[in-house]
This record gives sequence, C-alpha cells and structure tokens, in this order.
Amino acid sequence: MPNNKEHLANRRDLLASAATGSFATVVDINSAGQRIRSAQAGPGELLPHYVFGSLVSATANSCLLDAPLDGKFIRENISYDEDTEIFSLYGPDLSTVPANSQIAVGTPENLRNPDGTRYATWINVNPVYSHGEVVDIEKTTVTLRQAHGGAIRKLNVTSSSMLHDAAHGVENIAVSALTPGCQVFFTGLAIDAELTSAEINIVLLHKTT
Amino acid sequence: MASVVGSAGIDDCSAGEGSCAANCGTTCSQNRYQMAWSNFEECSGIDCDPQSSRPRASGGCGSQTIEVNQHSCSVRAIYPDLKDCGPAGGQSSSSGYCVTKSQPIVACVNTPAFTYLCDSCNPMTYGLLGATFSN
Repeated sequence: MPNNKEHLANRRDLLASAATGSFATVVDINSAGQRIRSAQAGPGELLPHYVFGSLVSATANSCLLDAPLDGKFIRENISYDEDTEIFSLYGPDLSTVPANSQIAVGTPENLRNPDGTRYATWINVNPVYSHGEVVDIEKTTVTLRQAHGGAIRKLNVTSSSMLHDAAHGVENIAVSALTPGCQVFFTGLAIDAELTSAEINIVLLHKTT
Repeated sequence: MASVVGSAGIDDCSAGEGSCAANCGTTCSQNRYQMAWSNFEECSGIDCDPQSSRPRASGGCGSQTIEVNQHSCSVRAIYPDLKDCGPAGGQSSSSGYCVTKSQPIVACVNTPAFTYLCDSCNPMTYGLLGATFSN
C-alpha cells in the first residue's frame, strides 16, 4: 500500500471524524453551515475514488480494466497488493480471474502510486449489491424478487455468508429466520460475469423487515 | 430546505436497463454518481419509506455528482450527514450510533455514490449507511 499518514484503517473512526466535521480533506462547510463533500470528475474522466470495468488482463499485482463512460471505454491500470481486500470466487490472485469479468475497485484519491496510477484498497469481482423481497427458501438457497425491475435471484448462503436481522438488531441469524415476504438488502458475488444472471453467493444479507 | 433521515441503500444497476428509473430515467452508469432520495416512488412497497410529508426533491431525482448535477434533471446539492449504524463493520443494527434500531431506507444510491458517502469503503461489507439527506 502506498504510504500515507492520512489513511484511516478504522471505519468507525473515519465516520466519527466525518460526523464531527473533522474530516477536513473531503468535507467542507457551505454557506448554510452544513458539511458538504465534493468529488467531481470532468467530462471523459473517471471518478477519483472508484472504477468499475471489464477485466482485460491481470497479473499478481495489477489489473487492466476497460471502464465504460459516456458511451466509450477508458482503459485503466490499477495496482494491488497483499493489503488489498479482494472479494472474488476465484481467490485473491486476479490473474486467475477470467477476462471480461466485471470488476469494482476502490481507489482512494490520497493513495496513488508514485507514478500517479491508482492503487486499490479493495476489489470486488462480479459484485452485486441490491435489495428485494424473499419469495422462497430452500435449504441454503434464498429466492428473491429483486427491486428495480423484479428480476428473480437465487442467493446461495455459503459458510462465509453473513446474515443479520437489521430490523431487530440481531446478528448472525440462521437461514430459517428468513421467511417469504420479508425484505432483505444483500451484497454478493455473481457466479458469472453476467451480473443480471440469476445466481449469487451471498457475502452480506440484512433482513430489514 | 427539506431533509430526511434514514439509510442509503445501494441500487447497483444489476437488475439491468431501467433499474435506475428513480434517477430521472437515466441510463445506469457504473462510473458516475446517481441517487434518489426523500419522497420517491420507487421505494414504496419495497423496504423504503417514502417521505410523503416531505416535498419531492426535484422530482425525486438524484444528482450526477454529490455537489453538482451534470444531468438535466436537477441542479441540487445534497448534504449527507454520515452515521455509523452498526456495532461492527458491515452491520446496520444499532449500537448507540443511530436514532433507531433500524433506519428506514430513504435513499437509493448507486455504487460509486455509496462508496463516496462512506469515504471509499467497500460496499460489499457495508450494505447500509445511515445518512441525512437535505436539499
């Protein structure tokens, strides 16, 4: 990881500092006394802290993505190392991930490489984040009607899945606590690069009602 | 100025074309900010609480960037006031940080916007993010 004294590893400290307004590098005060945050990208430019794209190629410490933007593709080279958090069904080495997989990358602006290229603090391979209504549960598979279009998803609960009942403040609930009709928010990894495909391995699921 | 308190949930466009209808009917973009909040119809009947007592925020449309909208639907700023809603990473249940145990989802944001709101966090382990949206 590029050395940077301002890097905050603890997210609670980070958000607490934001809440108290001590988040000086990214939070400003507007004329109404409210905290505002600014992050903008010019026409044809990718956002500074985040890139989403199709994998072109990868090595054990870098990857090349084609990021769609305004009807075109921008090719972006991103480095990563052992400090990078990687969620992938193919393991932590991106060189084993098939080309054209969909990749989301967190690239904090204050953690650039010396040559100015991006460094990834996290990488998700074929990620899905959404919410919807449970329509069926069978063993470790939750069938869900996804919001925003109503697509049917098959969510697989694996040994590393985290299930929480956000509505009642209960952590690590069993699959049996989910019932048809309840609403859930979930994140996960699609089985293949077609993110609209049906099957997803759950990373995190919140039961919200 | 209207404001609404609750959680921001991610709409990542993975449902395909049209899944960003809340965002002024714009085409989903994975590399631009898109969001919708307050009294927007998309969340009615799902798990969001449309704030019917609140004025619609520019038709419920979101902004292309946090501060300056680059789309035609609105030129509004939003002022997210972040709260950590979980006792540990990736949990939305309360541990003294949120007003209530379960913050209603009152805003849908796409992944770049969500990641920005939580300062480059990995959305894979967050899921929900408490926020106050004003416009």
